[in-house]
Amino acid sequence: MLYIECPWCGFRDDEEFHYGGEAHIQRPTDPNELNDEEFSEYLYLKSNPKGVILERWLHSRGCRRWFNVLRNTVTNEITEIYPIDTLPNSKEGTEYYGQNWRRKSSVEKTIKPREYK
Amino acid sequence: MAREQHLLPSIARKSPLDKVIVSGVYGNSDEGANIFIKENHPTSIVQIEIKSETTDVFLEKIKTSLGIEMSFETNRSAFFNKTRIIWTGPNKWIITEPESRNLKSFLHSELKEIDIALIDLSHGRSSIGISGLMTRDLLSKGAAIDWHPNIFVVNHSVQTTLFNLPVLICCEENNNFNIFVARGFAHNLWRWIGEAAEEFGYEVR
Ligand SMILES: [Zn+2]
Repeated sequence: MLYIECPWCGFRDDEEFHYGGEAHIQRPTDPNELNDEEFSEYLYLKSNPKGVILERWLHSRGCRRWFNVLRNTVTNEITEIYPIDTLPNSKEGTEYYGQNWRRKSSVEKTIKPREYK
Repeated sequence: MAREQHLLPSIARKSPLDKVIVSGVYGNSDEGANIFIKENHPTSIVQIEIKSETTDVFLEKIKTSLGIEMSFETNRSAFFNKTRIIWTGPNKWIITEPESRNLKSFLHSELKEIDIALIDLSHGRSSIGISGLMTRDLLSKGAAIDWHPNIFVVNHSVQTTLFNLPVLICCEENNNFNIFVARGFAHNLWRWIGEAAEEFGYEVR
């Protein structure tokens, strides 16, 4: 059982939330520029790490807002919660974001980098 | 200029609990009821959403039109007379009062200079009031929320699930809570509350 701190409502039971999968997966601006292999990389390949991951959660039974979470998949520890349109601030989160294979994926090469606040 | 009337439709609003509510005392009530349950019907319920740029004007308008001094604090509500505004998300609130005028039309004319979205939910939500000594114990059976009077203080509000039903709960006075639930779930929630209140003894008003 997770105990998640919604940035607006505070700590709530995980049954109030919905999981939104891996965070920071950018949609290609023009899917036609990608071949099938590259598109499937965007669509199907997920990181699934043992350890730190950045993921999206929705407070579906509360304020109905999305936000990002830094969670350790082994210990289930949540060490950072940050708004949906921003990048992580913590050292762990910044490292994970920068070193993630997706930063070098062909999808991210074809698109303009997303502007985060 | 003639004052706008904000009249309600001529057809009376029908409660989803019409044939369900039977006044009386039930459960373990030999020493009197410790829970009081009633439906607040009819109730005006209007959802209001604003653009964040208009925040200051919005506070001002709520003060002048409804008399409510509100803040942007999360999980909070504020009231004046019988009208209450309850936070339900960033830049989003529910405004509610016992139905006496067309609240949406009233707000629409009062707040028309601001960029807002108003949605009348009066037909789609029910309001159930629970009060009495054991209210917080009853609620703790249905939701993983801290109901302690030091935490869930008067005017605090949460959106959560109560007996697995999505609800908005607002503490109006100590041990006096108002629960908003989708109309279609009102009957189900009413039964759940009744069952949970058996051990305390309850009175339906
Ligand atoms: Zn929330």
